[in-house]
Amino acid sequence: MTAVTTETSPWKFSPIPNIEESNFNKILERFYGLGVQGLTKENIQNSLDGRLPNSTAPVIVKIETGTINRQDIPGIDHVIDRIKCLEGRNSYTKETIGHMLKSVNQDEVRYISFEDINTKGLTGAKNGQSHSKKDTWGIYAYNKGVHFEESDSKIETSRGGSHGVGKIASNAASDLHLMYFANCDEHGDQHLGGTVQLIEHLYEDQCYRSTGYFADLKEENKTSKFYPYENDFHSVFKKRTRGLKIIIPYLRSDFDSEEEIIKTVCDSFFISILDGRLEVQINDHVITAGTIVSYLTNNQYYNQEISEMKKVFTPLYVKTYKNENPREITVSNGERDYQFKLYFKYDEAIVKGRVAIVRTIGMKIEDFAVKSNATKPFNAVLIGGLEEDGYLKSLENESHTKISAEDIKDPLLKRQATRFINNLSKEIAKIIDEEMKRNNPTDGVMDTKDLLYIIETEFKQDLSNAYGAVKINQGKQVVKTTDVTTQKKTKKKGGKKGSVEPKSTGIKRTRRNNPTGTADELQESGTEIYSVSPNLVERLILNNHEFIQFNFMGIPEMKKKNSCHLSFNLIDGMGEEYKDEFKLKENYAHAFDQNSGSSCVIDDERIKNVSIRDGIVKLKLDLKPNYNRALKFVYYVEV
Amino acid sequence: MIYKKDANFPYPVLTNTSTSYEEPSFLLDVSLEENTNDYRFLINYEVSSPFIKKLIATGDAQAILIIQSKDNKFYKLDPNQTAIEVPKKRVSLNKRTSIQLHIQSNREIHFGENQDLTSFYDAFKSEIIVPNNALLGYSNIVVFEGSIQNPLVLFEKKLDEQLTSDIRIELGVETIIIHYRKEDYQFTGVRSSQAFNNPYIYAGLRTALQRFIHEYSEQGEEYVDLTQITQPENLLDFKLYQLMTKKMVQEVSVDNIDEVISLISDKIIEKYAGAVKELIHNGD
Amino acid sequence: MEIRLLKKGYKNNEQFYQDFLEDKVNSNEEYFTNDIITIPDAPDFPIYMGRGSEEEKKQAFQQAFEVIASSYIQTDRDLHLEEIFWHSLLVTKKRDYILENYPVVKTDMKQFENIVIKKFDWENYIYKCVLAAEYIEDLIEDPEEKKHYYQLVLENLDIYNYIIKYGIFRNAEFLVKILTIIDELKISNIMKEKIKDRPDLGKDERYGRRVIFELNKKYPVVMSPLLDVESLKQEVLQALSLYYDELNLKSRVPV
Repeated sequence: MTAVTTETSPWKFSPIPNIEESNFNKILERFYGLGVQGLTKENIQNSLDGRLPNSTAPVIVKIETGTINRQDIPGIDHVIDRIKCLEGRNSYTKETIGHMLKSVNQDEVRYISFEDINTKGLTGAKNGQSHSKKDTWGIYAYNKGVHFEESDSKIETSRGGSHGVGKIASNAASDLHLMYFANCDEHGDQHLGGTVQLIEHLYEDQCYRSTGYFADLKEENKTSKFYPYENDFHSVFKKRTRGLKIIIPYLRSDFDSEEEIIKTVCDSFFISILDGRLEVQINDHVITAGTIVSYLTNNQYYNQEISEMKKVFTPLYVKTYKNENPREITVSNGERDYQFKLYFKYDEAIVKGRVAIVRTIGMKIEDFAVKSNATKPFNAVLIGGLEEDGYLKSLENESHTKISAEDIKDPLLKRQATRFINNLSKEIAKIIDEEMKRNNPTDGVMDTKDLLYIIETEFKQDLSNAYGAVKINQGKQVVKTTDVTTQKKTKKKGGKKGSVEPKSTGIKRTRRNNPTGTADELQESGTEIYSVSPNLVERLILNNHEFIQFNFMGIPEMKKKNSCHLSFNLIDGMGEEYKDEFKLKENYAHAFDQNSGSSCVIDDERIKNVSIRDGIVKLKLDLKPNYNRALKFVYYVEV
Repeated sequence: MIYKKDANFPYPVLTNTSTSYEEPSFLLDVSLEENTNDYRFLINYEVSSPFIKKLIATGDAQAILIIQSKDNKFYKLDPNQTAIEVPKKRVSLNKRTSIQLHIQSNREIHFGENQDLTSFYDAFKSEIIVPNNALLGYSNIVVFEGSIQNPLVLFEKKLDEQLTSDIRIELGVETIIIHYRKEDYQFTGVRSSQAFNNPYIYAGLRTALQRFIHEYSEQGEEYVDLTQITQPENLLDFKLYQLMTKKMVQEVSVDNIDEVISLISDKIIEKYAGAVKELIHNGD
Repeated sequence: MEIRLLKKGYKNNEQFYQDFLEDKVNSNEEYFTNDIITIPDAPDFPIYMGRGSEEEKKQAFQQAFEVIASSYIQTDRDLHLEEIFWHSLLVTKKRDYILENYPVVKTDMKQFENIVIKKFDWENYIYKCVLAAEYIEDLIEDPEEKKHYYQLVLENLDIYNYIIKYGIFRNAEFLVKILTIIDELKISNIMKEKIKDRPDLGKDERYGRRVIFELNKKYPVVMSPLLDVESLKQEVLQALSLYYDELNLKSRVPV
């Protein structure tokens, strides 16, 4: 019964004589309980169902969450008007209405949209509420509890879409129970529709049904028909390419999780994605056959420890599906046999064994636990063909979360379903058993490598020698001195005192207060400072004298020098050098140059003008009584 | 602390790079044994100078082993000592562990008799007196590289439905064989199934060690001194012998069998208990 | 007690700090490796003595020494001298104790990093106590004497810190001998004092530190950790005399 209203509201409610039902649609609550996971599965499934029949291109679903201005939501004020008139009769309804009222004043509104591409979209939008089977827009938009049937029975059988309640899943995700659907058909015609699920209410002295439709109402031959609006609305509501787009404003905060959506897409549709039949974009994330693995191996989304996988098994399923060769198994329901492919992997690290039951359309129905084998260490994926899909669909519960015989009314079909599920468990259990035996031979070596072992420890000789041996060469350390053991063989036979194997020159141009660095500039005085390898030095303390002898023979830098200044760096017990710790004048009374026979001046912490004759420096120092005979030095010459 | 830096000492010091000694060489080699509680460092060193060697032999000089990891440990070595044992609660081996040998004088040393110096010192050496408690030489540094576990194959299992008992432990030629009457007893298919078999491993080791004691002990005795016996010919016994000696077990007897098992294995019972607990936890 | 070991990445991590405050660390698998340590016993003890009166600090140290000596130093050094062990223990098992005794940890992350996940070196109070406990327990038998030596550590914290800071003398025998010498010569106060008349040494030099440094300079010609107490005492006196007025010093040498 449709009486024409004088309202020009874009939202149309059917008038009724009086209010009978004061509750919200029960299905709303059920879908609310399934969360954003249920919403995502529902909408992607519908998109898959709408794939272009003769195309090999993947169905692309773009999921977007964001914020829009309240003003840009078509007809929102009228919806809000209605909401303000709702009267709850019980606590639950009152609470729901209260919750709605809290949201109506927001200026900035969160939304989610699901847009599919490479899909058919709905047909016959222009014809509005035509009651024709061919006009799928009409069926979708204006009928509840009915879904349109595909004319191609093959496609119909494989269709995963739910029992006519798909749209309500989207209403349930909105605080205001509000959803829109934008269509673009094969001709490029763009229309926008929407529904809102309220309760029966009194508005301006007239009672109305609970469901509101975002549609135009036209009179034709004494009856009224709904017609969709052409889509000239805000870009969030626009659908420009062929396909369907669902827009849900006032997205519930607990549905507003990008992370959950990503996980749901991977968990439920990994087969479709891996097979290249589906691609999903969630805001900036793109999940394709090429990228899905990076999400599965990301700690943020999936626990990577196999031992921790007790509720979510997706990374295991994907590995199993990609790496294992499928086996053929046959499962009977008593009347006919169904053929499935089973991808199976045995792995002792797995804590709970599950079988992913997947439809060819690609949505995972259930993490099936095989009877009595729920904690066996395996992982499997089960996929059938078209016939199997159809049968599984008939066994599915309404939320697409498991197969069960419980909800089947017909006693014969119920019996067959029970038998089928039992046989499925049996067949898979057989394979589990087989694999277990194969991996655990009863006879053979016992693995005790974590209990009984011998430790082989390796020590190495530390070859690095603090002086002159290590050169920083483009960041790499190069050990210049030879191996300790070979040095033993190349003995020095008598010969030159203080001469050294000619591997290093024995002196290193440097600064005294930065001995490990290299000096690139000359000293201010125009002289050079070199540190002297201890190998070139003989030092001896006898009674109250210290003798120091340097042998610079063969050292190119010292060739033409016949005099130098000497300074002493103290070396402590840890090998650290100190420039200022040893005061020459406090320790030495006198410095005597044994080459020249004359004294040397000690000044400015240096022994000055020490002669070099034929490369040799000979110095005799008189010790003061407080001289510490336990000290060690590295010497520096300035030439 | 180990000492690395080449520097000029006030008197001749024997090192591998010394220019004061005619044949400068002081080489150190270290290898390691260990068991659950202790490390044993096996020390092998060679000093090129007969003068210094004599001082060590007579006790006038002391060899000192320095182990440096998180702090320093000094060990005075007897002249013929080749090993030191350090409990794991006092030494931690990691990649920064270094070992060095020092030689220190125990009294004043006159270098007049030191024939091993270079000719430069001929004129002076009679006047060189090295005081007490002074360094005479230091060796190269040995650095800990890491260790690998070499597993021993000691156990086999067999399913034998004809058994008259549930379990039978057989001492085979090369291995200890656990016979099971039922496959179930092997706990196959259960996560961590290996650990559930640990009690049988323990029982197997006990049986094998009991036979070992019986076989190699002296008449009437109930213990075996592993340092005294020759290597067993029997392959299984040899494996046990190898395992025990590598883990520094000196004696195995009827009284200390369980202790020995604890030293030569890695927490058999603890791992079993852990696996049971985990199973209970997962069952929730 | 079983302790799960933390994975790298918990330092300088705002989220980790927040999760610690909200008790969300233990339930988050991501923070842990697969390794679990088992130790028989892990009682509470004071972990930070950077604040409070002298008496409070002393009490805290004493309690720490006692608990660490009895319950922690019998484990492998791979545990009780490892930073990751202590940080994991504190974060996973001692949260309540920490928040109750060091509430300042709640104020900001810097406090958390300074008190709970402090770098495990000489500045870390647990490190200080572990080494002291190991050294004293290992070398001294008599319980009364042990107490005495713990007391000596507390009375000579400056030189104790200096000794454990530098690797050269971080050694049980050396520490105990030095404490013995300081005690016998009664020079504890002197060792702590700032050196006043030597501007060339910098602003904050102490006699005790310079003594150790002098011993350092002589090493390994003189291997101080291996000297007997009397010989080491002579070395200490000699070193001290380089800086300290000799007259006073002579009167301290017991005849």
